[in-house]
Amino acid sequence: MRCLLLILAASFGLPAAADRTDLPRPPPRMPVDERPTPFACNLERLLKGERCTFEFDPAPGASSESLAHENSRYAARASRSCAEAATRPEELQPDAMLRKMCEDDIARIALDEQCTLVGRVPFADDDGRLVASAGPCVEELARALSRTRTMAGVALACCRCLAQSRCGVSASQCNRELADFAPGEALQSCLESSCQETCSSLRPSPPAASPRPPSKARIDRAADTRT
Amino acid sequence: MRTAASLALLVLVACAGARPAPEELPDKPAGAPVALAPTPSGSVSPGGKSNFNAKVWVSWQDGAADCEASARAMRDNSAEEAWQALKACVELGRFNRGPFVQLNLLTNYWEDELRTRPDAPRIVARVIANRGGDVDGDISKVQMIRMPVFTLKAALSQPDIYKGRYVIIRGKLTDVKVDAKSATAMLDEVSMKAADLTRTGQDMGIIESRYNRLRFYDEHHFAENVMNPTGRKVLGRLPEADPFLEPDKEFVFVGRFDGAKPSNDEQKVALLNVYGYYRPAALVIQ
Repeated sequence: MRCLLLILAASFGLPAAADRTDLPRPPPRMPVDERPTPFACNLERLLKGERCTFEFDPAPGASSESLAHENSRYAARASRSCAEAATRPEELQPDAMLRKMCEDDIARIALDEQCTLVGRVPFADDDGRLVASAGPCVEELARALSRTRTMAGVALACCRCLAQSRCGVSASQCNRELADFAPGEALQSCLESSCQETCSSLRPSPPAASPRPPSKARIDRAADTRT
Repeated sequence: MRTAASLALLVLVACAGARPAPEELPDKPAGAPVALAPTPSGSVSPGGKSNFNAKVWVSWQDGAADCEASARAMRDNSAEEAWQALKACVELGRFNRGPFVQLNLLTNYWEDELRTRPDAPRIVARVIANRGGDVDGDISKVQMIRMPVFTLKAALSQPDIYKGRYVIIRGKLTDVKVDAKSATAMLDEVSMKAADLTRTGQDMGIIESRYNRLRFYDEHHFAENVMNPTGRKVLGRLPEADPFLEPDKEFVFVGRFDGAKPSNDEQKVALLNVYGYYRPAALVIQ
C-alpha cells in the first residue's frame, strides 16, 4: 500500500517538477532571414575558384531520368569557358584542337553520376544558385578547364614545333603528355632531337651535381667564435 | 507688501524648477544629480511622452561608474528612462577617465534588462569592445546571468539551436558584395589568446676570457595577447556598405544568427544579420 502511494505521488510529482526550473527561460527566438546572399555559389563563380556558399537546398526526391538529363545539360554549360581556356595568352583565337579536346572532356564529365546527381535533386535553382551536392562535379569541370589552360599556355607551342619537325606523336597526345609533365618514350626522343628552344621549359632538367663537401679551412673558420 | 513678496517667491520657485531645452547642454546642476529629480509631473510632458534627454543628462556625469549609479537610481521613477540613461552612459559617455568598461556593474545591477531588452546585446557588444574585445572571455561573464548572447563557435556547432539568437564575434572584413537592397560582408573571426613571447634586449654585454670574447644580449620573457584567426567565417548582412568598415581592421560585431551554409571549401559559413560593430580598444581589461 505504501509502495502504491509512493508510485502515485511520484507520477503526479514528476511532470510538475519538469515544468519548474529555477533557470529563467531565454526570450523567444527572433525570425530569421534566410534569403540568398550575393555570395551564393553559381557555376561561373565556382569555375573561377571564388569563395562562395551553397545556398540552394532542395529536398531530395525520387530518381528522375529527365532531371538527370537536365542536370547533365546544366553541367555541360561549363564548355562555354573552353574557348577562353584554349586560347594562348599571346593569341586572340582559341586553338581548335584544344577547344575540341576541352569540350569533349566537359561532355564526358557532365554525363557522370556526380553531375547528373542521379536525378534526385536539381543542379541549380532558377537564379543559377547551385546545390551543394553539385560541388564535386564542378570541381572536376574546373580541373578539365585548368588542364586546357595549361596545355594552351605551356604545351601548345612546343607541340606545334614538334609537329613541324615531323615528330610521330599526335598533337593531342603531345599536349596531354606535356600538360601532365610526363612525356612518353616517343615524345621524349622527339624532345631530345628537335625544338630545343621552344620546348626548353618542358625538357626534364639534368640531374643536379651533388654539392662538394666544404673545405677544411671553411670548417675551421665557421667554428671560430673570436671577434 | 506680503502679497508682493509671495508673488516674487513664487516666480523664483517657478524659475528654479524650469527644465532645460531638449538639445542644449546646460551646466551641471548644483549637488551632482544622482537621478533626475522627481517632479509632480515626473519627466513626462503633458502629452504623456517622456522628455528625458539622455544626451544632456550624460553630459552631467563625471565618470562611467558614477553614470551607471545615477542611471540605476532613476529606476524607481522610470525603468525606461533609467535604461535610456544607462545606454547613454555606454554609447554617449565621454568621460575623462575613459569609456564605460564596467561589465560587472551591468551583470550585477541590470540583470533583468540584459536578459529581456532587445537592445541589450548592442550595449554589451559595445562594452566588450571598450574592454579590448575579448569576446570569448566577456560572453562567458554575461552568460552567467543567462543573458541570451552566444559565441560563433557555439552557433556553428549547433545551427538549429542558435538560429534567431544574438551572436557576438570579433572579426575582420575580407570582402563585400553590394546589391540593390543591402550589402553583404564576408568576415573572418579572430580570437584573442595569451602567448609567451621573448624579446631580445638592445643592450649588449661582453664576457672576455683569455682565449675568447663573447657577446650576449638580454632576453625578456613576457606574456602578450595575440590575435589568431579561428578559421570560422561569417556572411554579415548590413543595411548598406559602410566606408568606415575598413578591410583587415578588426571590429566587435553583434547580430542575429540566421543559420549556416556549406561553402565550396568544405566548411560551414554563418549567416549574420549585423546590428552593430565597434572598434575594440587596444588594451584588454580582464
